[in-house]
Amino acid sequence: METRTRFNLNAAIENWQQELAAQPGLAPEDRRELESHLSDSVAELRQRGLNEEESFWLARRRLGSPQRLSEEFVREDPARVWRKRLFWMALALLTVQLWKLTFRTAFVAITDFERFLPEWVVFYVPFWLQDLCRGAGRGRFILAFGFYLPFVALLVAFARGRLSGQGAATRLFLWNRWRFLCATTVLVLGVHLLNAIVIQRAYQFITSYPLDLYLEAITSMCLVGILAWVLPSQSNAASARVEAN
Amino acid sequence: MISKDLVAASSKPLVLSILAGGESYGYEIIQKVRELSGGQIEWSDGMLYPVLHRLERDGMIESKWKKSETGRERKYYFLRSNGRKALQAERQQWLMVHNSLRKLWKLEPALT
Repeated sequence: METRTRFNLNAAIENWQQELAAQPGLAPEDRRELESHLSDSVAELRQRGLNEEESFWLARRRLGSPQRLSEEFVREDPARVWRKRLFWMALALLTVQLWKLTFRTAFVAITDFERFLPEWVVFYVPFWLQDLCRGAGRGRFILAFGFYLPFVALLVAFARGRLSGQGAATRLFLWNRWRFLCATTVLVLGVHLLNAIVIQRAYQFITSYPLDLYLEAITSMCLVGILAWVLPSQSNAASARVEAN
Repeated sequence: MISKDLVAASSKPLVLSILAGGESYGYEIIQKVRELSGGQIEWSDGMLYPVLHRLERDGMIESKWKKSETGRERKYYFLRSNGRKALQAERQQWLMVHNSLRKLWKLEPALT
């Protein structure tokens, strides 16, 4: 059993935030707004003479349980849960696609390193390493392991509970629609360009850039478009709609 | 105590009227409603935000994050011109209902 320690308001608010984050109907911005409300409420109750712990619990009770809050938000805007799911699906697809492409690029570049490195550099690479690189294709089992490892790690992290530290990072990343759009576009185009250059060098396509690669690049950009469209940030979505009117 | 349906129906004109008096944030709006009604209109704190967000989606109000003098961040809401028009329509409807009831109940004539 835990021993009872002094009440910590910040920790309590942090916990409450995590409870909110577990609800499907609340966007990051909604949570921020609710937290600002809770802080106002706590401050006022403290002025009336309640202690920190009492103020927190009363303010929390007045605001309603996280589940009820989420229900109220969803009832007002039923599409939001759907939008959130679409966002995560598109993000997962894009991540898998980009990782696959990066992995393929790295694989081709490593097995065919003689084409990409100047002769004098190759001269200094130890023979055992050269053999290892040339024979990379044979170690398919190890390769597959390397490919799936990040996904397994991610799944384990999710299963162990929310990715806590990463929450702040995503919030920052998702804050602004334009920042998100620019960052992902640069990333997608960069990965595709690198892949194209490496493949071109290795297989010597003389006529044209193969259709498959174009299609892949187009799919990636479509996914980025979907992500930007359903970005879970209310004020951005609202202001975009206002501009459209 | 006012019934749930009436609380829901009156939330729009109340919010718009309060914002017509100047920008405000969720907590302050709730306090004001409580004060105005002498505690008779009891809004659960969490129910106001979906209402505000719907009004924002409908283009009647606008929001902006601002730092208050205490350093705490708050999301302030402002009335837009669409909201001002909507408020006028609401006002007419509510006064119409109000006048009809007054006549039926034979209270003293309405002021408008």
